[in-house]
Amino acid sequence: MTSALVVSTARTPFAKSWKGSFNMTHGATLGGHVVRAAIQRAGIEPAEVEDVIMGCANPEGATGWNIARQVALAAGCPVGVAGMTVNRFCSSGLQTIALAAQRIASGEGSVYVAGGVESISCVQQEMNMHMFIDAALQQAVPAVYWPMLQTAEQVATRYGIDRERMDAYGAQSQQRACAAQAAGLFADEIEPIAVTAGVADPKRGMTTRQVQVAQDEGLRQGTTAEALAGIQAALPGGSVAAGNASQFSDGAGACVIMDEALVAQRGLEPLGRFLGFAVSGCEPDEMGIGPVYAVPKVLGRLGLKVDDIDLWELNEAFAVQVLYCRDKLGIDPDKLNVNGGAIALGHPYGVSGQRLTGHALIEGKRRGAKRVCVTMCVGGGMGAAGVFEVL
Amino acid sequence: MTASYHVQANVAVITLDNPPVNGLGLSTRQAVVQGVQRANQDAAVHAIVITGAGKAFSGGADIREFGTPQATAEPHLLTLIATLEASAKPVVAAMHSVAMGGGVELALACHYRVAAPGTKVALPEVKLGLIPGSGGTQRMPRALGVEAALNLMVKGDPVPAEVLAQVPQQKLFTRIANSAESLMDEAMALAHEIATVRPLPLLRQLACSHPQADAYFQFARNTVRSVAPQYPAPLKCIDLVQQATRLPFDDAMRQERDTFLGLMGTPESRALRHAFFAERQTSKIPDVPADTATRPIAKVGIVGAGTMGGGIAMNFLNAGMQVVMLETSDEALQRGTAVMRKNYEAQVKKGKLKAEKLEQTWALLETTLDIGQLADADLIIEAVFEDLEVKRQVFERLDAVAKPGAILASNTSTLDLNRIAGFTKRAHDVVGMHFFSPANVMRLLEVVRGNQTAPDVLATVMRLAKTIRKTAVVSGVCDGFIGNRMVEQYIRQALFMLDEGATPKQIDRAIEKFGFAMGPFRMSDLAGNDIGWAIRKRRYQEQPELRYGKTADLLCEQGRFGQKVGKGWYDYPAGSRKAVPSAEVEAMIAQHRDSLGIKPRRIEASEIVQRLVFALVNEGARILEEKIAIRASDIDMVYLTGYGFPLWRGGPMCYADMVGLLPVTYAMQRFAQNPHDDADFWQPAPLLAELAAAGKLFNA
Repeated sequence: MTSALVVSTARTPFAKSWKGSFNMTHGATLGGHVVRAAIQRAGIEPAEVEDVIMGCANPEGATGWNIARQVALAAGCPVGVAGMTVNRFCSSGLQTIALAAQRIASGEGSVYVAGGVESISCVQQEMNMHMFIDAALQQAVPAVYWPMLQTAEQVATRYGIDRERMDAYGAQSQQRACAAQAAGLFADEIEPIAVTAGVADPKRGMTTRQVQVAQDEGLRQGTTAEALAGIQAALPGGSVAAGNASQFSDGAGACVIMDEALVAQRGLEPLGRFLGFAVSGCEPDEMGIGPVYAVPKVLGRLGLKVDDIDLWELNEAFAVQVLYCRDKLGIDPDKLNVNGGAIALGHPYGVSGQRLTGHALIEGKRRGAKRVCVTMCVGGGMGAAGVFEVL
Repeated sequence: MTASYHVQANVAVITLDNPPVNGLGLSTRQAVVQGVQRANQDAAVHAIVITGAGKAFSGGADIREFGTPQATAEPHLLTLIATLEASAKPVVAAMHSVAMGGGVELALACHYRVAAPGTKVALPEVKLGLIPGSGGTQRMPRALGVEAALNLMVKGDPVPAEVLAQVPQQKLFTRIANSAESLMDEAMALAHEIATVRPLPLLRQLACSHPQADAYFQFARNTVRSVAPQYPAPLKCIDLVQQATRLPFDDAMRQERDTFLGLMGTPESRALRHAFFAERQTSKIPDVPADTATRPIAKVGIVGAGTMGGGIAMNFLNAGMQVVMLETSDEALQRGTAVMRKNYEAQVKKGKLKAEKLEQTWALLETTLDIGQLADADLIIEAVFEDLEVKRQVFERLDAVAKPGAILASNTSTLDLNRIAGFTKRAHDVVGMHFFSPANVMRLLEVVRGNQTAPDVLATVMRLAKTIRKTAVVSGVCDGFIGNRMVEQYIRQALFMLDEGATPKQIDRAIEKFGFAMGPFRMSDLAGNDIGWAIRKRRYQEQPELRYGKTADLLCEQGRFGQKVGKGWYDYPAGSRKAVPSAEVEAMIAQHRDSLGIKPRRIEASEIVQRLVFALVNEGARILEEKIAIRASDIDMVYLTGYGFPLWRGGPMCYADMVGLLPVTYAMQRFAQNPHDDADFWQPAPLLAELAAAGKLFNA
């Protein structure tokens, strides 16, 4: 139990990478948009923010040069508001929220913005690969440099999870997300945005257009496991395929985290309370199972059991690792990713933790949940988990 | 002189005059440079107008000069452009009809441009694996803006001047003329108007920028890479247009030149240029002069309303020609025409064909059960079952009813055309027209020349091919003609490799990665495995020495005829077109392999590709030797337009040239050592061995 409360949440819709609406949008634009919205939604002044902490898994290029500082300025914060970029790969967005809460708990400040920004479109294929690999480390721990896809295949073979189960899970994610979108269940967290996008069509060629984006772009109505079964595996002979893995996407999200006393004094309406957070390392070659180490750690410290959590958001990096973690931890499938996950909505790495937190608190309130847990696997072999109380 | 000069009302008019399209050959370049100099020295001249005579402003580089010293001789196009830019008197380009490549670049160096409506403007260099190499990549973005300019050069397709004139803030055209007729008057009027305006406007002096340059160019790169990863030139266009936004004009021009020269040496550009010229060669037949009188063809008879007959008929209907289709029963006619109708309606649905156009086209089609209705047809194409006896009956009856001078064509794909011609008393009027399925889509038409086929029949069919937009290649008579005779060797190799340890998928994947549209097994499943079976059964009689892997026959014995029955080399679950590897087939292959006592080995993708492609090459060389094909490039065209050979590899003979004929023969000698392969086949064809030894090429 801490005195740090999540007061607001705002995110961009998640756009498909490369062909989607944010394929020409800079990280400062994406991040600035959501930080401005989160501050407005919280009902505070930008100048009150102590620090803007943004997670980003590839903090370079269009999301480089301490993108959080750029985001703060793009959001209209005065120059006195600082900015810090945090990278713990796919848990960056959760890490920033934990960090803000911890700084509040320690008495350093009382208002923080925490979230994440990721432009896979503009960064992932343009990365600086100079001396990317340390030869000695590669020899000692080769899997630390493995592509995530390979680690997912490792989980599939090591724990005997077959393609059929993955596709069934993937289809369910799409179906749940489509139903949630139709019911407007993402509307409260999304802040629509107008951007310039690159659009290619056979007639007009490659042109730029102004587009208004209000919905997540990765959802596919009518997805069935049978249809997913027909998609070719990403690796020859493998079982991870586009239909049972997270989608590449771009976006940003931010929460305002404040000290309870100030929230009460202002009469603001908080969404939730930060209870605790833990990270844990695991074998890099099976990074997908990270949550099975991080979740017991955080629950143990809080004196809670799996059944004490009423709603789970376990990031859908790959269906295979969600299935393994769910069953290993004994999570009730009806309480897990109830409105779909990254397989349908997309996974802008550094943002996902923020989206899952914001969504868990909003959805938790809708369902009358008391406690929610946000957890994910992390590249390099890690897991992260955060627990929140719904207010 | 290939450009004329005259002065009219104080304006010097330089008219490019180098038919057919005012290509910028050496003498034209010289004449233009001299004209500009003369105009500048003549005090009575106040301005210059450059235009083109006849049916073009300028089609760009003179393709007849390609590869000759004239192409790069001074004055080079860049020198001509520099001369125009340096002119102290204003230059107005008066553009009409067609302006392409170098012709557009020349116009971009002028101070003002006026175009007639409908002028087709294109920078088509990417189609030859090149970029606009005379300033187009730098001046066009300044004239049209980054996006419109980049799209123009990445696609390479012509765009009407009035469309480009609508690009916001464009500086490509000072004016669009009211009509082609008034173009020169309006250009002259403009010349008078601006005669004293100084400084002279030059595109090179304009700034070039894009509000999201980095983002836009990278989006463009990602797009181009995902669409056409094998083609280097479109990406280079993007790089150079980006340089236009970054570098001083002359620095970027140096990069353009370096890039152009670099691309000239790429195998992709070599292949694309080869294909470009090869396509223009196919209609040239050494002993049939270009001016051979052709027979008028207004009405076409088609015998057989099956898949082939219907597809063939559609070609002529689409060209606005009358078609009469003959069948033996109403039912067959109805079935055949229903398929055609469905095809047209699908085109209407996709917006490719207007509904009223469909009805116009459809009205051209007649059907009949009475062969007598073909009596007034100028050309009759037989598309009946592939059996010599059936063909005999058809041709004997056609001989009896067809009017004198009518051309009698057979769509046979493997049978002896001379024997078919012999069923008639007019063998000189008989020719092969081998269409490829789907006949209304595939570009290739093999025109089979029988021993007695009359030159004017051949000339007529070649001309007709252009009307129906086919690439016609002449083939002599042999089993399978050019395409199928070669593919037979390709299939034999694929079957041998199954015996040796490969799977259908492995082989298909390797050759598809090489660039083929479809590997041999997927192709066979699509065409129907029973078709090859029937051909092999015939060959077992006619050429018992020709050895085949047995798995294809075993496959057919199990009724696995391909996609149409849901199973062939692959499974096609629930009527889908997706090929799923079949455990049953793989077990059958393994069992057969065991029965031969062959220990399976892993066959590398490179060996698969070489054995398949070099099999085509060796048989192609024999076809050349036997003069079945007129020239190596004709063989390449057959494979590029009819067999899914990757365009950017130029066809099998061009590919062999680029690999080097000597290494190709070495590989063949290596394959000959393989005990499970066909050592006799792999003896390099004498022509190939000879060319290789002499350091020569198939396509010199």
